[in-house]
Amino acid sequence: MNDFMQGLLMEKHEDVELQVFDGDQPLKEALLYPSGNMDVISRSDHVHFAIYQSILEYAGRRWLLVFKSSPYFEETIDTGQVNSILLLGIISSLLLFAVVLSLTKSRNQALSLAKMTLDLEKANLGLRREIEERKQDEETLQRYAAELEKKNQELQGALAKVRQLTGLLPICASCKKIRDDTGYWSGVETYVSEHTDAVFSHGLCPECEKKALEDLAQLIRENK
Amino acid sequence: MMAYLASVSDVIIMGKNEQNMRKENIQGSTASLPGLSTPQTPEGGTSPLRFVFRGKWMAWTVLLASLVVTFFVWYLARGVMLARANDRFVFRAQTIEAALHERLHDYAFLLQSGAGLFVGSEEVTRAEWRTFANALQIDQHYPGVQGFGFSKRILPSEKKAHIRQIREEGFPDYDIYPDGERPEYTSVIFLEPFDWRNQRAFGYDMFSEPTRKEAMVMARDTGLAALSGKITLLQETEKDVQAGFLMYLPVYRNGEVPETPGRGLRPYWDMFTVPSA
Repeated sequence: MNDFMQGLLMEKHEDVELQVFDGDQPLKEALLYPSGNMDVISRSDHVHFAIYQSILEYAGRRWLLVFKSSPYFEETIDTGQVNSILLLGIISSLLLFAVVLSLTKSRNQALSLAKMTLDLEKANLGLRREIEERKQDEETLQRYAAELEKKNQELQGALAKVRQLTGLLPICASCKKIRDDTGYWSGVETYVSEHTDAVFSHGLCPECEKKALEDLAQLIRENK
Repeated sequence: MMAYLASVSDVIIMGKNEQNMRKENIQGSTASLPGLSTPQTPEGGTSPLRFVFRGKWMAWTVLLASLVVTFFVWYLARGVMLARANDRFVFRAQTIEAALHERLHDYAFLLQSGAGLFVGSEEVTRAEWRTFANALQIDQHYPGVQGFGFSKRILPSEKKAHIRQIREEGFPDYDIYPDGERPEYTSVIFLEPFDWRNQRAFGYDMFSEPTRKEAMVMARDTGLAALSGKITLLQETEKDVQAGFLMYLPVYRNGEVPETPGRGLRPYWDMFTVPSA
């Protein structure tokens, strides 16, 4: 069978190990052909990646062909690409995790900041109100102070006038003129109207009127 | 990902709410802020999912989800890759299987060409058979073929005359073997190339051996090529004995080809044989 099979399988870089059995069953005594790469190493515990069996029926005879993947074939299965998917996936998962984690953190920070801002604003508002109240109070106070000042001034003016009319006034016993601080004699009307707000309107009291009328009558009589 | 986006939009909406709330607060409202309330307090229309997408849980959820997706994709890709590798393997196996089939087919053609020679000739001599077999360049074109032989079927009554005839051809030691009385004999009379290995089979009665006989009977009865079971060829020497097989094709002396298989004994037949190892 080795001659018959010659050239069908590659010697070294063959993907399959082949056993040809005469009949349908893989019986040891029916083994027609084991491929050359099968007895390289005795691998009773080797787990083959793939096994393919088929029945070759020709000229009234059935041959069971048992193909098993060779170690060479199993080495050529490239798991690198697929495993790189796994690696990249894990890396990007971790990156995504980090991003979301930091986003969550900043979100929480933003939320607590917002809360703080809100509290501050509340406090601020209270303070502002207080300030306004105080301002109003201050204005009132200022108003009161101004009024007080005015009253005070009035009072002081009045007091000054009151002081001008107090004390000893030297007065002429005959003509009733009053001497001021500068030594000048002025009439009562002049003096009072200078030192107070009072003004005089001239009239005659009934006694003087009577006397004046008598004087006038005496004059007329004398002229006659 | 969707969960993440939903949560982001949630934050945005909440931001708006907070702005509104701020305005209310300035106007003197002291209402509590729902956006700032702890996740444990149930809100209107919230589900346990919302809890998962909140806070530090969300990052872990995202990690878990993306890892799951990663493993799923990896698993799929791995499956595709393994399936492709398996396809490659099966393709290789089927290629070999097809080549094997083709080689067997070549054997049948080889046998058929022998039948063509016999049908086209009145009598085929040893020399003619040799020329014919050499012209076929068997060793080059038919891997495994150890020789191209012709087996004559001999009835007991014809046996003595047959032996004498062959011996007269220049083979004084010729005899049919194994010895013994049998109802019918066959004898390998031509086997090219007639080297020392093939000479070991010269005169051998293949009909005396059950495995060979089974295939010969099948060929005889169907008129088609028949493959034998596992045998050890006579050509094999003692060491490095490899398993072999034979393929047979009958030729009928009167040109008859059986129409239906198993029509009983056909007295006039001979057999071409291709031993292979």
